[in-house]
Amino acid sequence: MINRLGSLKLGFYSLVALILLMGTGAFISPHFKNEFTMMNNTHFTDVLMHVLENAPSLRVWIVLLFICAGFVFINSLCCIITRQIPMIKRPELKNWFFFILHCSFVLVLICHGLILVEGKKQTGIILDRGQHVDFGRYRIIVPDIEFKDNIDILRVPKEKRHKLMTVKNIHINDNYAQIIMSENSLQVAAGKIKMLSALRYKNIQVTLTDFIPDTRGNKVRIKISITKTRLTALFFTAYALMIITLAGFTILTWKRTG
Amino acid sequence: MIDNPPLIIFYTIALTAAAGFVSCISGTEKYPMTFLVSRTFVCLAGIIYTIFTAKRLPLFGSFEAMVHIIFVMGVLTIIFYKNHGNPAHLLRADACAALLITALLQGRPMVLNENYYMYSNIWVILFFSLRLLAAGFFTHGAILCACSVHGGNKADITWHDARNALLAATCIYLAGEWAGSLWCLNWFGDSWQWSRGFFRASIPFLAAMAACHISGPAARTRILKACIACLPGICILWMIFFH
Repeated sequence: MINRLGSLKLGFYSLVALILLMGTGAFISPHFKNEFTMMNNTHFTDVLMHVLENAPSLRVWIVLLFICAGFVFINSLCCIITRQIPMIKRPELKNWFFFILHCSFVLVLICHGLILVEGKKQTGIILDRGQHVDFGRYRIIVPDIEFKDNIDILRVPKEKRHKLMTVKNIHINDNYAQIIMSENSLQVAAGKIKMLSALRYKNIQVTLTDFIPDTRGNKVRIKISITKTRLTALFFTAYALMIITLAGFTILTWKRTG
Repeated sequence: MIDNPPLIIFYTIALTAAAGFVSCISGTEKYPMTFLVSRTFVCLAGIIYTIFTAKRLPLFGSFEAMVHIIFVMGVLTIIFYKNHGNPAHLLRADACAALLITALLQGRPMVLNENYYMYSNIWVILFFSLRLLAAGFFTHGAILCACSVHGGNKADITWHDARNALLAATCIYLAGEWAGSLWCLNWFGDSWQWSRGFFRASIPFLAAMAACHISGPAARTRILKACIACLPGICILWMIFFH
């Protein structure tokens, strides 16, 4: 049984099915824009229960996606047990690279799955200067917001705004929000958050996702998302390890033999 | 009068690719290489033009992606064609692929993209640059796969070279996606999103994985095997240019 589950054939067909599902996802995503946005903003355990209540076809697609990803995962795991472990008994560096490559792939897949259900997430929080938001036992306060560029650019509809938000018009380092994070009224972290530069404390990340202009005047609010997950570091490490071992394996097996 | 340098670069690339292809068919050995080198230099000119004009590396869009990808394809063919089982086949397939790309891009706006304010971020630059580099490697791999069908007794050599190109491309592509995940983490707070971009991006990697695990009836037919192994190259070009 384990040999069958770890077979090359099952791996190949599961991958083909996954490609087809991803392709389908790419084509259907414009039709389910709101649902996907909600899925990104909601914790995954709530997604299947509530968000997709009115989208049964999307629910079918997600279930199929999970089944196929599950097959790829089981196949990789069984392949490691039945093929890779016996292989590393031969003391060759390329076998070790091949083995670690497969292990790190399994780890990446696990992290991908667990990131969906583990941790906590609060997105789309809009805050003005002086306001705060609570995240578990933490409080995030915004003492100051600074936006030095032309505020009218932010008022342009999103589709057209992209062309105006050039390096000349938007100075990424000049626009920021001052953030203070406290736990039981005790300050634990503080700093500036800018676009692409978040504030991190332990496993919590406060990310600036957008500046929101007031309808009138020159006031700007911020849109932030707060995420807490223990898996981010592990995910990026396993991912990097997978790339490094793939590079090592490619180099070691580059030369033709025979 | 040069009104639109990218357009002139585009047509020069198309012309040298066409000339290279015609000279390959006519059977002369000297000219295909000359046209390939010229085409690669024109692409290099396009890259230099982008760097000087936009003050950044080529990142995306029809013109920037085209010069980058065809440049990488050309460099790889120039470096590896002598070790190849059948150099004439490789030169012909490479010229044909370059010609096909330019033909499919005919009518597209050949302009440099706006400098979006995030393009100065290191992870964003790495994401786009490595993706284009990987596309060049994937396309080169697809060309080699196509060559392996008519490789005769040297088909195995060609197949091994194709496998090398495919693995190297996957490696570069994943490095780009890794940088892209960091970009996403810094922008949205998540390492990935339920979005069209992420679904599309997973396809070339999964296709490369499938190509490395070809099994069943597909593994027994050389043509089918080559077609499957060509898929990552086709997928990434489709993703960059047409979707």
